[in-house]
Amino acid sequence: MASQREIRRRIGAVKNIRQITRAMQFVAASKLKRAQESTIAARPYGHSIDEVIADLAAVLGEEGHALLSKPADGGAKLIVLFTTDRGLAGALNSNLIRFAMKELESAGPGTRVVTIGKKGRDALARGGFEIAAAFPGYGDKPTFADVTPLVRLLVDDFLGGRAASVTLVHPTFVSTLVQRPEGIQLLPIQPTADTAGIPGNQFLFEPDPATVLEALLPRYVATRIFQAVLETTACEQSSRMVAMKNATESAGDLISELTLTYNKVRQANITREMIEIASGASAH
Amino acid sequence: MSFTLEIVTPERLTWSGEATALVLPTVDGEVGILPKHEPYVTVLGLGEGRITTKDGGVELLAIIGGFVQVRPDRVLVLAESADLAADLDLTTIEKAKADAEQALAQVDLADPGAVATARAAMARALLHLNVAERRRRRG
Repeated sequence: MASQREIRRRIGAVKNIRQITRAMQFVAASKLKRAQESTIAARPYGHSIDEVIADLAAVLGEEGHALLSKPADGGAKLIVLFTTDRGLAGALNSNLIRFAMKELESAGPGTRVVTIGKKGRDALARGGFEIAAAFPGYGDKPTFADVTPLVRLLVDDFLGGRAASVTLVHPTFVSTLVQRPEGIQLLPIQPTADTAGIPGNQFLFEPDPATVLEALLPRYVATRIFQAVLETTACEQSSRMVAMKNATESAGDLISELTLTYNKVRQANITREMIEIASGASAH
Repeated sequence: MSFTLEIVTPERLTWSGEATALVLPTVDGEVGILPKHEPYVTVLGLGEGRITTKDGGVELLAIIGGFVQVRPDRVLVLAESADLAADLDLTTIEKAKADAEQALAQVDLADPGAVATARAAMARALLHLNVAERRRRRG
């Protein structure tokens, strides 16, 4: 059995770990609140842009813009994988990476991948996948302007014919406990059904529908990507919060277990010493 | 008579409430929107917007890009960036302007993307400065 001092040292070490995981849990909880708020704040914009695109697509048809129309079949797919820069976020990153690898393997040859966040880049590089471009994560407070370089890269690749379709792989925030990886086709854009209740042809488009569409589509792509970034941030924080909560609880369990062992050892030592003293006294 | 107005950006809801008139900068000049405007969509440019609120007050705001959608039930302004003059802080803008000037001076002219980014930052700082100063003059 371990010595009394050794067990005491282990209890101290586990208490330190518990302090750190508890602090990380609270930090993640407060960042999660912010991330959730900005995800919700971004929704009206995304919703309205969906509606206007649906109206415009109804007026102009599928041939209205290069970003809407399907290119010839057989082209290479481009997969964009959103992960985090930092670990200690439960199974979030490994789930995303496994999902992306499955997509990559099922997609035909010539499929390329762009990674956001250090974890995705490292895992895919280890797995022997070729990475077309790697972006660092967008941190805790992503802004709309941050995603511009990524948007430009994706739109250029699609319009230049280097990618026949673009798919985003990012976690979706179902609840604090559940985050699901999802693959969503970004390009070519698939207009949603018109939900505004007003037929598109009743709107007056100025200067004309084609110009409005031209200005809108890149913005739509940027909005979609920004939403994926926000979802990733919210999922990272909630996943970390839950993982750290579990770690704090496990540390607590371990501490009570160790304390019990410590007390048993201490008692055994005292008993042994008493026997020694008693037998020494009776020997005299 | 008034209409429901919402001004949103990808980052937040900037303004919402009842308005009696709205002036917006578009790519083809300013447009004014009054109650019972017909359904209308247009692309916004960079400039100053004015909201006349129900109680007669005027709110100035700096708008960059995006579009406006006039629907029978409400008017939606979806701007890339929209800041109320009341929220603009002169010291922050001056700093942004100084940063933009420095970025413009050092930019690599062979890279059109970098030039565009630096110019956009400068235009944004100048617009914010204009709108903030106009508000101060109005008192």
